[in-house]
Amino acid sequence: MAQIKISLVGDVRSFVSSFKKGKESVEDLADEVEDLAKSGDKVEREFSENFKGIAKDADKAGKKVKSGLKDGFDDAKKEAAQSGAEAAQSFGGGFEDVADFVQETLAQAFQGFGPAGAAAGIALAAALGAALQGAADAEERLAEARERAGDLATTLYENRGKLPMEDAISRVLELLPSERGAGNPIESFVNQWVDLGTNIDAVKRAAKLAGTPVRDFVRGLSGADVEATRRALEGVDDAITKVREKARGELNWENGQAIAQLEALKSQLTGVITTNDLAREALSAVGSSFDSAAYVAKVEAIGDAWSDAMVDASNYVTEAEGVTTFDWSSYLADAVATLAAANNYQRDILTVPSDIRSEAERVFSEQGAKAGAAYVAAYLSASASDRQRFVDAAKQNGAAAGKAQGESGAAAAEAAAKNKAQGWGPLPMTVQPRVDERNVKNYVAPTGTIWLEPRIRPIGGRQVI
Amino acid sequence: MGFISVRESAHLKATVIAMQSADREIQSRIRKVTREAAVPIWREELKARPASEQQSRMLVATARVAVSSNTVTLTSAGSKRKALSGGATPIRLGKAYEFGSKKGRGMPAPRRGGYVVYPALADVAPRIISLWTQTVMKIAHDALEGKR
Repeated sequence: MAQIKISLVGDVRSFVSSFKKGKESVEDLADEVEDLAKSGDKVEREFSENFKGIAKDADKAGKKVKSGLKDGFDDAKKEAAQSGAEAAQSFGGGFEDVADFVQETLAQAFQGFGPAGAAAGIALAAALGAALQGAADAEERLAEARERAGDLATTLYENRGKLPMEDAISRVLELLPSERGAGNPIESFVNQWVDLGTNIDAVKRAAKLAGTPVRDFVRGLSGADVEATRRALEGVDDAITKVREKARGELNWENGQAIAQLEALKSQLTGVITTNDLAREALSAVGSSFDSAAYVAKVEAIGDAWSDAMVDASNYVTEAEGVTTFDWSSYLADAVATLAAANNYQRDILTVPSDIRSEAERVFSEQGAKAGAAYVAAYLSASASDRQRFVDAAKQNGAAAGKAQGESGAAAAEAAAKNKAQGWGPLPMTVQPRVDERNVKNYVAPTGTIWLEPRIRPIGGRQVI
Repeated sequence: MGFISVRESAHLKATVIAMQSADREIQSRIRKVTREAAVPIWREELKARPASEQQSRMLVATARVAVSSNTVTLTSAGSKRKALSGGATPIRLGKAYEFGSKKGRGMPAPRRGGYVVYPALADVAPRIISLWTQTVMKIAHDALEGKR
């Protein structure tokens, strides 16, 4: 079953093409135009006749409608193919123009998901927005994309809590090939977003060769889940072996290209794993200099707290007269400010005494990154005697907080486990506690590129941020 | 016939040719204006039809209008979102609620002409085509006179 779809006017394409070839008789056209401009009633009556029988043989109509629809699609395709480049130049409004509606549709569906959902919503909005930037016929595509966004949003809404992100990514990927072009914004966007770093098509082909779903690759390449990366790597290795076996030592253009793509993907995946391993080593090195394995756990806990402390998107959702709007520019600005605060916090936390540290962690996890950073900064700027008072207060607070910690700790652990199980996280990261300052600096206000997640710089410098 | 062929009407021929020869910006304005006007007409017409609660959720709430440069398309039951408590989605069962079905409890009895969408279509299609042709002419005319 499919939807009910009725195209009101048919046969247009063949008419227009024969008209352009001069085969259609349109002598009275000028009169018609004048006539049309004058009288609505007559036209309506004329069309009424044509639709009278419709209720009677509606089921027959289905088939005819179908052929009419095909015309429409063919037209759209043709039009898009003809005028792609030209339209891309003439359609300058781009992102802001399209953002509104996608934002509207998606924000409504996503507001229930909290920050992670909002991030997904923004990502999709941006992806779709970027896709539209190069669209041959912006307005038409807008209507189309609005429906797509709606579909996407409803699917995600239905899947509430069940890992809709992957589904969303693969859907965005499905949209890609038709939108790709040299320096296409969507390509660069997705590159930044999921760290593909290479041609999307290559990844899709490689995934096909490897017999692995594209979303596994995307997940693997994103570095959000090292296990997924390893699985993807295994898949690629298998695929390389298969292609080699099939080629029996005779490499031709086709299998040579396939292998080259797979190798590129392999080195990409290896890069992700290496980055991850090195980061882990670095992390434990920091831990050992403080002579405590527990501190490593603490640093990781800070990472979790940091995630928890991420800006709550619902603060930026307003509802007025039934219309939901999501102020994503403020949301992102706040997110960036929070990241910067988290950076400062993490820089300073190593220099303060342990009592202050645990108090700061508590402030951080309860009141967020900004408060945590402010607390640590206040301590560092205090005079020697005030610092002692800080420490005393921290000790007392710590004792009081210790009692309460049991409960809230359990709740937080539950929430974190849930997030992990669902593959969600406000900021999926390979390694938790390091925010590269470059990324904060590189943040571009949401007219073009959007940064959703801080990135670890991969080893070897292949990935460009 | 489910739709009217452009060849059957001189009005439509004129409209289509005007649309084809209008520049991109004007075309897009025409589509926008037509869509904005047609959506409420289509929805109101569907709402005015007698329909069960299920039919209304399946068919009326999912009504959409798409306007291209060549035609206006009315759709319904395109949603993949669950419309009924049992999990039925319009895209799967919309047509069954429109035309009825012998299978399934609580489904409307089979009716060839449809219950909601197709009867509404017969009334609303002429209005919307008329609206479209008028809009094309009006905007194209205004544009020629320099009124933007």
